[in-house]
Amino acid sequence: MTAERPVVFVVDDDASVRRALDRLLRAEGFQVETFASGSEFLSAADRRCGCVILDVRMPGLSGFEVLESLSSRRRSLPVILISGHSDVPMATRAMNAGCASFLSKPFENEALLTAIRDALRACSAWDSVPTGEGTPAVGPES
Amino acid sequence: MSPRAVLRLSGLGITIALAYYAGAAVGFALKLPEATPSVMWPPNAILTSALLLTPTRLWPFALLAALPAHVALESGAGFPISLVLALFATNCTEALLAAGGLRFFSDDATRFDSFRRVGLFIAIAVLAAPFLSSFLDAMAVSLLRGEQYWQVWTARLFSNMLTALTVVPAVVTVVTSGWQWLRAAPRTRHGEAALLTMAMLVAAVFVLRRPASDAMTAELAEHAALAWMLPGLLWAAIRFGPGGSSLTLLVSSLVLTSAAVHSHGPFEGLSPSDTTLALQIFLTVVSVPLMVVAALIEERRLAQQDISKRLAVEALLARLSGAFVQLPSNRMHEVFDKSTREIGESLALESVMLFEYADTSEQLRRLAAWSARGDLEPGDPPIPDRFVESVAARLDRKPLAFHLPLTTARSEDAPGGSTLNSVLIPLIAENKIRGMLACTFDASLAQRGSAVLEELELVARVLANALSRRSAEDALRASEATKSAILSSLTYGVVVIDRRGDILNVNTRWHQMIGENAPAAATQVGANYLRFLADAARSGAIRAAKAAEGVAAVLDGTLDDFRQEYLVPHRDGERTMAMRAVPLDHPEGGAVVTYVDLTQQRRAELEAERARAELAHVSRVATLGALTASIAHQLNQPLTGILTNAQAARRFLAGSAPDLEEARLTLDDIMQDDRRASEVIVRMREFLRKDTGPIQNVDLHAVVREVARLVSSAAIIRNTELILNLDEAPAIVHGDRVQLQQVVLNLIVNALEAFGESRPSDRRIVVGSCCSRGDVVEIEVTDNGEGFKGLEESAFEAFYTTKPGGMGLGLSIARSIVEAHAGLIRAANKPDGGATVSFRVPLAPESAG
Repeated sequence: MTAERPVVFVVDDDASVRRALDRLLRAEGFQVETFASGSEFLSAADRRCGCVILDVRMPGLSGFEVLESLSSRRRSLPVILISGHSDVPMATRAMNAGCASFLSKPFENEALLTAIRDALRACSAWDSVPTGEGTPAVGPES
Repeated sequence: MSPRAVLRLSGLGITIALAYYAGAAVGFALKLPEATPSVMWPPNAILTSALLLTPTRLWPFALLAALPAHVALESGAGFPISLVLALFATNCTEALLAAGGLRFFSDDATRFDSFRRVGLFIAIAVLAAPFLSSFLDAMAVSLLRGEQYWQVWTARLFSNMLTALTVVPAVVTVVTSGWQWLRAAPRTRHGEAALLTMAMLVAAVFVLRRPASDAMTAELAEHAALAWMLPGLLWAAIRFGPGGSSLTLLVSSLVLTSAAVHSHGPFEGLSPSDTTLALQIFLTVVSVPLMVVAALIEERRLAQQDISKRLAVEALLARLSGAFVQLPSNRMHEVFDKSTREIGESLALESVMLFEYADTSEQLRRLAAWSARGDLEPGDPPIPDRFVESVAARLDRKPLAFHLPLTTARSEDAPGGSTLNSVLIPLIAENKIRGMLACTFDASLAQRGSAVLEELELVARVLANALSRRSAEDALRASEATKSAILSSLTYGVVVIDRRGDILNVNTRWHQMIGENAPAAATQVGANYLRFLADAARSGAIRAAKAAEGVAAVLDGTLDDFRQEYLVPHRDGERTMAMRAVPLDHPEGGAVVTYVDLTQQRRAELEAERARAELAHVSRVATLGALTASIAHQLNQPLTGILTNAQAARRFLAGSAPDLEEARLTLDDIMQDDRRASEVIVRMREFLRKDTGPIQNVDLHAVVREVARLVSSAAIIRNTELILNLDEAPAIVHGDRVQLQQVVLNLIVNALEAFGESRPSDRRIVVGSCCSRGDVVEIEVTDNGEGFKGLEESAFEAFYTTKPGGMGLGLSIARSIVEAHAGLIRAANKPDGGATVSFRVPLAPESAG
């Protein structure tokens, strides 16, 4: 078991959405880092294991562009795309672009949490993925 | 020479010869025994008469015609041929002297109806010619027959004087006017002449009868012989003029001479030659004053006749003028027929025709025609219309008198030959030929020549003036008719007033507009319009007082143009009326007031406004439809926050130790997101509102910011950067907030759509503001897209679009809104690509700097 807990990166231009996700995911026991734009995220991203919740429509780099940028850097970070304005072509495009999940805003918590857990399964070192059973997650350091 | 002329000439010769022969026979019969000369010797007088009655060129013929008669007679009397010829020569000399002198000195040698003419006749034919010719006569007789020269001269002189005095006027008058007198004189004159003849006959019987046995009575009767004749002579002189007088003188002379020849009468007892001389002197002395008296009386009668004729002409002129003056031009034709008849009858013409030049052509049109011989056939006038027309074309404003040989059936029936005298008189008024007066008259009238022409010229002047006035009035009436037709065709009411406000003209439309309630007398021509307005104001008519003030101001020159709009109740609802008063373009002043019913126009304007608002609304709905994704995005953001927060909060509250603080923060966030969402909805609802909002002061910069928020998601979705570059200070304009939002929205959406697929990145829209002038604010939307593909000015036309699926309404509606806000909108492509659409509207007065 590694000391490193997986990180859920949240990239959304909408502060309210960012704060809500941060609050929820932390309550679910995840380590959360939020970014207001794609470029901010890309410049701060490191090689830690985790997944990214990425808004599709953002000023500056869109979610798809960030996704492309990640793949071009050979950064195998699972990506969950969320969009306030989604349609079938966008979902298809998202899947083709290699994202792990695609969710339409607003979404049910369970759908998001399931998507996150699925994404984090790739983190082999991570053995205590929060189950989301209503109890605060217990991190390795706690 | 034509056979007819030969016949006429022969007739003339035979007549002269017969008359000469008869005259000589009478002369011989009136010879006293033992006395060579006759008391009267008519052949000379007959020759003189013949010469007076024939043209000069025929004189040799006339004299030659008498020669055979002379020779036959004188030779019969046993005279040698030399004496016969010498006597003929002296006879001819006397006749030539008398006729030639009279022809030379008298204005009309065949008339004896004035003092001058009779005086000349006595001086030339009675005194001079016998006086001179008697010298030759006496010489011939004394040489060839050995008679005493002066005795012959005296006898011849007095014989010839008496004969000339009595025979020439009688013969000439009978030949020239005897027939006409018989034909034309009234029956009473014929009766009087018969009475006179009877009286003369009775007198002659008394003179010529044998003396009575009673010596005393016989002597009385013989000495009173002349007295028997005198009443008849005076009667004739006074009542029958020189003609009658000379006839009675002739008869008296013959009777008295005859009495003397038969040794009766007053000169009984004298020697034959003394008797002859006494008779001659006596008769001559009696004849001369009688002739003069007759001439004077005739001259006075003619002068009176002339005056009464002139008076008749003047009365005719007065009647004609009066008839034309009193009639309006459109009824003048009624009196033209009557006038031609009156002219014809008053001036004793044969026919009268009146022609008029039609204004539009050179053609003469016959207005009226009259003929003394009954109704004229239209196609058979005395002078054919076409003849008048062709002559008139050549007339140079002067009358033309002419002989026109007429070939119509009627003219052939005319007594006295087939030729009538005619005259054409141009009718000239105001220096323009208005028409023609054509007249024909018979020969007797033709003798009066220039007098008739003068009378006709006076008549022509009256007719010309009548025609001129008629054409002027017709022109005026036509122009009045045109003006009134124009006035009544106008779709607006017109009242023309003079400077006092009296109505000069109105049209029926105005009467229809003011309705049946207005009293007719107060709104007719002549009524006072200002009083009408004042009365209307008193009875509560809307805005009448203000109208009266305005019109009065225009009348006194203090206002150039007065207008007002007002509503009047009407059975179909209210009507919008507009009245306007402007000065009348007339030296006397005045005003023209027009009334226009704007109800239809206003209704149409309202309808158009409603349609525009409807379209604007549809367009807003369509625009928002296009922004669905953006709106969904805007709503989904707060909704995502709400849902996520709510689920997080439930977590915080679950379990044994709920984290209340975290839950409270979460709920705060939820409330904030909720507000955000509702703001989006409110904005949308406001934007989609159908009716327009109130006109109020609006900060145009705030409007731009609101719209920018509405489309921010759309910009994001389209990967476009929306940059606001607005002044910090508010730009307050007076207008409808939603409509102004729509303008900004349409401009930004239009810019968003301008990129198409051509520029995947670096899409930019800048919305800037600038106050180019102190009193307007200008908003500029600039993109770096593809620019307008067509003409920039077409961009604002409705349904003009270059985008697939676009309706082409956005910019058109933006323009109509901007213009409704008294603004201006324009579009231009930028040189470096992209386009700028800008609009400017006036700042609200209180905020304009």
